[in-house]
Amino acid sequence: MENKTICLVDDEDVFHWIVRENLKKMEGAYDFISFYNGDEILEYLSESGNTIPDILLLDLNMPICGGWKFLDSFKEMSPEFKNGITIYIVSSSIDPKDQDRANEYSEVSAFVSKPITRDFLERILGSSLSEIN
Amino acid sequence: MEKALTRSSFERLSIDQRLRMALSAARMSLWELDLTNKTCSWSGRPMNHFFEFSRKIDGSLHKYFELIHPDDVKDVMSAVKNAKIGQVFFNQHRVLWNDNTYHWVESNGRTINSQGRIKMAGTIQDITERKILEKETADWKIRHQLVTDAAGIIVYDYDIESGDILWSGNVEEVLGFTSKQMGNIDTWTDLIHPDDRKDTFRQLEKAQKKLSTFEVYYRFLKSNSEYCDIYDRGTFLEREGKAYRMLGMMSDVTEWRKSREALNESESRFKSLIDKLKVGVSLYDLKMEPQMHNEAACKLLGLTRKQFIGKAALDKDWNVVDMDGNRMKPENFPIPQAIARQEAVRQVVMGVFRPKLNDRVWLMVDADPIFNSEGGINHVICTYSDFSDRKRVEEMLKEKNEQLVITSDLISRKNERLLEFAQIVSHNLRSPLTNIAALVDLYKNGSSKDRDKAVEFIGDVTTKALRTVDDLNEVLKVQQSEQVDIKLLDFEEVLQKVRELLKLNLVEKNAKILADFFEAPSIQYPEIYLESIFLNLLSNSVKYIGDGKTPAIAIRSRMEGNDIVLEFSDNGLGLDLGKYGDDIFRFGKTFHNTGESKGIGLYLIKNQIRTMGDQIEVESKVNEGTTFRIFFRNQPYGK
Repeated sequence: MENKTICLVDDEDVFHWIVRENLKKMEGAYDFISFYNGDEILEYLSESGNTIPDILLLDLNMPICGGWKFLDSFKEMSPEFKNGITIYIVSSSIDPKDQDRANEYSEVSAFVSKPITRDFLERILGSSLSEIN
Repeated sequence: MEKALTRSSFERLSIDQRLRMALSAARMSLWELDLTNKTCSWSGRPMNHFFEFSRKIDGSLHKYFELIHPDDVKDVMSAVKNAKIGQVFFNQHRVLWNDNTYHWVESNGRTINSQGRIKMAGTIQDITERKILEKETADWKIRHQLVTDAAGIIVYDYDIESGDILWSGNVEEVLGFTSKQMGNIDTWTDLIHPDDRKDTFRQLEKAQKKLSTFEVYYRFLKSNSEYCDIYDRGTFLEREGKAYRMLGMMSDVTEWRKSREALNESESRFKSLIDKLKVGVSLYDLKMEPQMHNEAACKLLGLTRKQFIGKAALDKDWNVVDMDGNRMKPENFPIPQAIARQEAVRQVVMGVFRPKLNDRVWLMVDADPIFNSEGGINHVICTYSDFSDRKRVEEMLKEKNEQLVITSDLISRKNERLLEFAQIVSHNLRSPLTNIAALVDLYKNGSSKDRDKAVEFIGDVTTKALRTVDDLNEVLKVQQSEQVDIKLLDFEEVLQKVRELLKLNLVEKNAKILADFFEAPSIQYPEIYLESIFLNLLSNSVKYIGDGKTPAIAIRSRMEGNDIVLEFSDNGLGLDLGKYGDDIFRFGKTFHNTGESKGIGLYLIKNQIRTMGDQIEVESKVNEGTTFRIFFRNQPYGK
């Protein structure tokens, strides 16, 4: 069985390191890829041959192309493609307006406020695994 | 008609003829009544007889009686019955003439015995004209008496030579004396008040010398020992160049004088009362001309008493404004309004310009129409009170109120920004703190290598968090400095100052700035705010120019009504506003990966602009450029 691929889109280096380190400490092996803004991930997804991530952790507030802008582009993609990716918004925002806006996207599975815990990572990895099995 | 006769031809006539002519001229006729056979006859031929009716008489006494006026029949009848021989008789009665009017006739005669027959014989004469005159005289006398009685007038006729006075009129009623008691000139002199005698006689003698009319006033003793006031008016009659009679009328004017005095007194009391009032009072007639005005009215309107007269309410020269400072039309003044509406007009506030004092006084004016018994308006009474103090207080209140509105507006804007600030703080500080929390967790469970890395990151994140706190402080500074001085600033000068600050960046990128402040060269604004606007917009234009391009920036100011519009256009990267919209002005929002972005500049100037109650707009196209437009409200001095 192939390793699950987890993808992080966030403009802060420190958060990339945090997520990577936490994944390392978990049982099982996961592939981890990361990007600094929406444009970068969109470009990655559009290139053929790249591994499509199973889980996408998306920040909202990023320069050039933030989380919302990415979602607007992602929405237009084919359903089979979209269905393969589970998206979680991971933001430091605790603004209920952002929560509400996230609910409007069927592509978003959940809105999670930072900091993210290892518990959370285990839970999402588990659920996505069980879905696959 | 008989021909006029010459003296010689008259002498040739017989005595009988002469007599008949004389009788005819005197409208007289000879007349004879035979009481024995009850017949009567007249002298002369009927044709030249003046008694027209006699032509119809057959001569019987019975027939004559039918012509006598019914009221006189009894008299004539008794005269005939009572006739005794040798007695003289006299009778006046009315007889019906041919023209159906009654004529008065008078008969004189004697009853005689002529050859055994008893006859009444004599003359009969038409006295109608005399009777009319007599009646008129009697009527006039009655009327004269009535008038003098009613007017309380005494009429006198003083014979200067004898000293006698003929009194008539209402002597008893007025003075309580009979005409007899009033006596002659000596009594009259005695009854005049001793203090008035000398003066009265002096005036009378003067008039007597000139034979002119006179008018004298004196006190006169009445029978009840009280003095009354007499007005005596009369004239002198002249004979051979000398006055011989004095005719005049005396009337009692005591009551009139008293009421006159009372009226004068009450009028002067009223006038002094009105004059002492602090409220201005004036009385206008229907032509809107002033009839009366008090001291205060003159003072308040800045007119002398003389100027007030003839200064009609509708005078074009009045320079009056209403509460709001608009020129008032004369037809809207209270007096014409009160006349037009037939009712009181109250509490009209007028700002009246006083040319003499060269100032404007605020008056509260009431106009009350005064109605006559028929319900029409006779006058309008106008009162003025000084409203300047009240007006000043009112203006102060108005100003205070406006300040309050501004203050509450400021407070609500401040509140809005505080709330926004709280959100920014919670969001932007929460982000590094969540990272620190995660790093601490990794530190606890990590290898020593991981720990070193975690500590390093904690250092980085903390530095970033501190920088955010510094940025927020900068924002706070703007928000707290609301009491910044507003100065008249020159756009060109501010631009020069900012160019100096950004010199290195501008030179490095070879930036071209085209400035045009011709239409609106200056503005009333806080200096630090305007500098901040120029600094942030200029540095953004240079920062986000895009690779390989030379920044070209156009800055222009212009007027839009009372507003100044400042326009900044560049040829930089631009933004997709459809995507970002208002995010462009939000704190910590960055849109380009240049590494220089902090996401604070635009947030800062938007805050400053809003603090001043103004507005900023943005227009942009990706890779073409951005235009910012700032609307500075109410800058009428920009020009």
